[in-house]
Amino acid sequence: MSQKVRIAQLSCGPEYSGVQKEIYDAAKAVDAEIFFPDIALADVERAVASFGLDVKSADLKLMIARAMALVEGKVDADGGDHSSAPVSGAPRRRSSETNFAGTFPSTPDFRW
Amino acid sequence: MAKVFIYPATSLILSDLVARFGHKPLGSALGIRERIQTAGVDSPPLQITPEEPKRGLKYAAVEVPSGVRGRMAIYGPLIEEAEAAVIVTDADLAFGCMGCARTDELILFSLRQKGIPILELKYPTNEEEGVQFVAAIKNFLAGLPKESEE
Repeated sequence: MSQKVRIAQLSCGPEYSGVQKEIYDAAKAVDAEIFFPDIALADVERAVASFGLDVKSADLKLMIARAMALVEGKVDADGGDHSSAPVSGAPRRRSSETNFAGTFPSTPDFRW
Repeated sequence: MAKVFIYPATSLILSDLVARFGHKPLGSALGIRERIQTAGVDSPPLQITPEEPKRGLKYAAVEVPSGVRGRMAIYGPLIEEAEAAVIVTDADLAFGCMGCARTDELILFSLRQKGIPILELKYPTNEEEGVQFVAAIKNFLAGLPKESEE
């Protein structure tokens, strides 16, 4: 059995719009699977600061951080150039489809 | 026991504080629980179907993005039910993340329009403020009626 094509979902709000199932169905139709790149809370804060777009919505910040993780090669998705080494030198992570654990870790910079 | 809407609605700390001081916290967990306990996996991860943005039309106009209306389908009924509210502004993402800033504005507006007792606090940034923060919530909750008027 061939390995499924892994597609990273970068979005803001489709899970609340009632269209998330359509996205999963569309991926399934082409024998692919959708995953959400796992990133840490500290990655979000870092990405927002370095990307330079000052958005208010936390979901948008998360989207920016996930996109940057993909571009920097910290997270693996199919369809991009996988031959180059990660820009930051950090090891690549293969995100699982349903593993949200990496999104909300306990971080040392958690205040209060 | 009063029904207290918490903002950020995903805050486990706020939810715990409200429950600990003898009231019922109204937050995301209640709205999402109803959906994910439904038999079958219709639209994971949150089981929000195209019906929710339609229900959200009660709280937001049709030209408002469907993501906002879908969220309001969860929070709107909780706001209607609320007898008081605790609002924490400028909260750290780890304290409770609401996701959509436009929905947040609508939630806060709806709560303020409702005319219920509201405690608005700024997120504490040091231990001293943290102690005052918890004390303010405790005092506010102590002043709410223990028995809901039916």
